Amino acid sequence: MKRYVSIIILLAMALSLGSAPNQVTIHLTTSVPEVLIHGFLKDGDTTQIYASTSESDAFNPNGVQLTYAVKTNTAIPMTVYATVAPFTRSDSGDPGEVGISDIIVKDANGAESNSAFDQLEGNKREYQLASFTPNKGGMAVYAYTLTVIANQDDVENAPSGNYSTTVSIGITTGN
Amino acid sequence: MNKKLIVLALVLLIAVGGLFAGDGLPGAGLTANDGSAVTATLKGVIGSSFRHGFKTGDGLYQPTANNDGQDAFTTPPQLIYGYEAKNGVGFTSVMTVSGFKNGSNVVDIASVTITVGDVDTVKNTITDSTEIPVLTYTPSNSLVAAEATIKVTPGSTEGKDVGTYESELSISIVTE
Repeated sequence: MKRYVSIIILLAMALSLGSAPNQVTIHLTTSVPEVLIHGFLKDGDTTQIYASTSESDAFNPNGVQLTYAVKTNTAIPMTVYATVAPFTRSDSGDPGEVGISDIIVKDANGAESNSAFDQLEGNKREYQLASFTPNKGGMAVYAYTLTVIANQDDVENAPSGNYSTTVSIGITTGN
Repeated sequence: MNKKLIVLALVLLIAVGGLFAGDGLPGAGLTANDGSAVTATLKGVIGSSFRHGFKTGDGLYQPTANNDGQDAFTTPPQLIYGYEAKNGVGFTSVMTVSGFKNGSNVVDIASVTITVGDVDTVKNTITDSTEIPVLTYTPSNSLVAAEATIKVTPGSTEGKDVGTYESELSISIVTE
């Protein structure tokens, strides 16, 4: 008896497959993930965004330039800020320190502005570089030229030697 | 036999079910580096700095200068000497000045007056090899500039041949 029941089940399945309609419909649903990539452009290449970069001649009176970019497909308001400490001497000898005079931000339209900053502990400063809401629709790159200018009085008065500092740039999203 | 049929049925069910199974929808939310901090390392070099020489009309220190066009025997020549330095080693700038010479004729130097600020220092007994301190430099992390006015007064020209006389003033650096 059980054997017949099993055979009937298999037949029913086979018949049900065979009796399927000629046209079937499937609803495909997906979503485009929100992407936010930021970093630095190098050598005029706008396709690759690097998480780090290194620049020399930072004591040039005209400053040292970085090209910073945000690639995103969101429309979320964003604020870009930079945390930086004074340059410190990286070789042996008398300790020396060279402060940051200004960080000038130039947007894609050529508008320049000196960034305001908050003084943090340990002589660090937090500069607000840009606040914007992506508005190009879809994936787009928003680029800025940052000019970091060292304090030239400090450069003149600091001991001779090699100096370095790290500019750390972060983004906060939302209002 | 029954077990085989049941297993076969399960296999068929799983296979048919698999046709309608998807990979799952990608989750929403930010991807890539999500705005985590990126860094730029900035490097700069501060080098030692030093230059010295004679001040010219445009304010620069030049390694050579002359007082052509002036009669040194009428108006004692004056030169402004200076340096700019940021260095870890101190030094003294030292001058020598030769007598005014025309062949075998020599007009000695009567005196050299060095003026730094409001202070005059006069040296009266001078030969070609007499070393006269002009300016000193103490090691500093700052760029330091100093100047001195040097006045060279020739001695008597009495009994000397007519002609053109030349004297050479040289300043060298003696480190500590």
